[in-house]
Amino acid sequence: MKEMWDKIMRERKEICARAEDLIAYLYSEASETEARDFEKHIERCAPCRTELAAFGDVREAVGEWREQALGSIASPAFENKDVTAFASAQEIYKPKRSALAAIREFFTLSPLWMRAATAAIALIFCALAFIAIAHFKEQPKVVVINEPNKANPVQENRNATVASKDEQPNTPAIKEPTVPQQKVFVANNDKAQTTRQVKNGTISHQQLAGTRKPALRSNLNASEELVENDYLPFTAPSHEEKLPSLADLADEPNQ
Amino acid sequence: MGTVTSDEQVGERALSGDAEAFGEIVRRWERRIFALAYGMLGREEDARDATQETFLSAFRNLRGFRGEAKVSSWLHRIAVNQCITRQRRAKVRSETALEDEQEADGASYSAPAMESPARAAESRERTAIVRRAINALPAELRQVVVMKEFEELTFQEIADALDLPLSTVKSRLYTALRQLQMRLKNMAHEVA
Repeated sequence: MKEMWDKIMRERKEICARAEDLIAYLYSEASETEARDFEKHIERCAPCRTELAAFGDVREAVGEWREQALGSIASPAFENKDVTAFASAQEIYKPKRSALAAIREFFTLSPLWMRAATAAIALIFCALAFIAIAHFKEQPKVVVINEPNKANPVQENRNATVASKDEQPNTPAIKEPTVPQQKVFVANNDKAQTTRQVKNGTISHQQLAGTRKPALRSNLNASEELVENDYLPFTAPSHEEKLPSLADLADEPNQ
Repeated sequence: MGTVTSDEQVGERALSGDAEAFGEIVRRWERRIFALAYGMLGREEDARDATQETFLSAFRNLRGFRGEAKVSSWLHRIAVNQCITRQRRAKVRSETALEDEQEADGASYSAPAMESPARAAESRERTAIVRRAINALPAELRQVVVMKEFEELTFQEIADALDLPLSTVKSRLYTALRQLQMRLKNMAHEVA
């Protein structure tokens, strides 16, 4: 549409560049000097002269319609009502719209490009949210505890296992899982990831069984295991076991 | 005898919470806003609703009225937006003014008593053609024509109300008149 207007103006300017002066003159908004100058111009410019006459006819026709239309309409919108009272009444009785209705009205009244842009933004947002959720779900919560300076009993176990496997003649070389060298604790809720790890051989079935236990039990077992293997640097001192319990103290008579 | 106050003075009073001052704004501008709405929408009922909505919107958003702008520009801007919104709504619902125009033309126009029936019919037909031609203009062109022809605003007032450069207003008006001229010519040929 805009191109069409530009084309009209371009064509007009090719004939005569004084279209805007013509409009100012037609509506009597040109200054006296400008008006005199344009009157001189139209004496020798046929297109401007013709157009001025044609536009005069258009204005006359539009004026006739305006007179008929507005002349027959007697009462204005408020009919001398008190506008503030009217406004208050409108405010009071204005129904409250639901969020859904507001969204529907937005989509109804907005231009097509805005609707398309909003839909695209919503889609992108949903896709990003989905990707983000999927990403966080897939991330395994792996706790790695490794003490390089200390002889690793798991490593010893592994070596023993490898040695025993080596004794079997036709057994191919063990595909060594990389994880068993370390203590791995997988979060209970991450079943998909755990299943994948099992399939890939990066986690053993024993470890998997450990992960399926309730969290508290799993944590207790893990703690016990760590204590047994002397992994925890801080454990309860042995003399604490000899301390009397509260119940024993309560049974004893006051001294 | 009461003193005559300017629109801007009344606007300032309304802005300070004087409800009566806002009533004065309505009384001063109601007819012109109605004319604008009628020219834009082409139906009396729609024009009435749009005028009411314009003043209600103005009343609700009095705080949004900038002191440096003219009251008339502010009201016209609201009115034009109201009309555009209504037109979009009507377009969505496929209830364009064009559908009812024959009926509306007949209903809204009553010929003067001294006019002969043949002459009245001819006049009615002519105005129906004009109305169709104006309705067929794109909204950007129509609003400029209506503001100029129905409200007799100056180019500067239209530019202020629509937030457009002065030269754009003139070129739009020129384009609108050119299109109207062509459409009226074609429609007259069709009728003949």
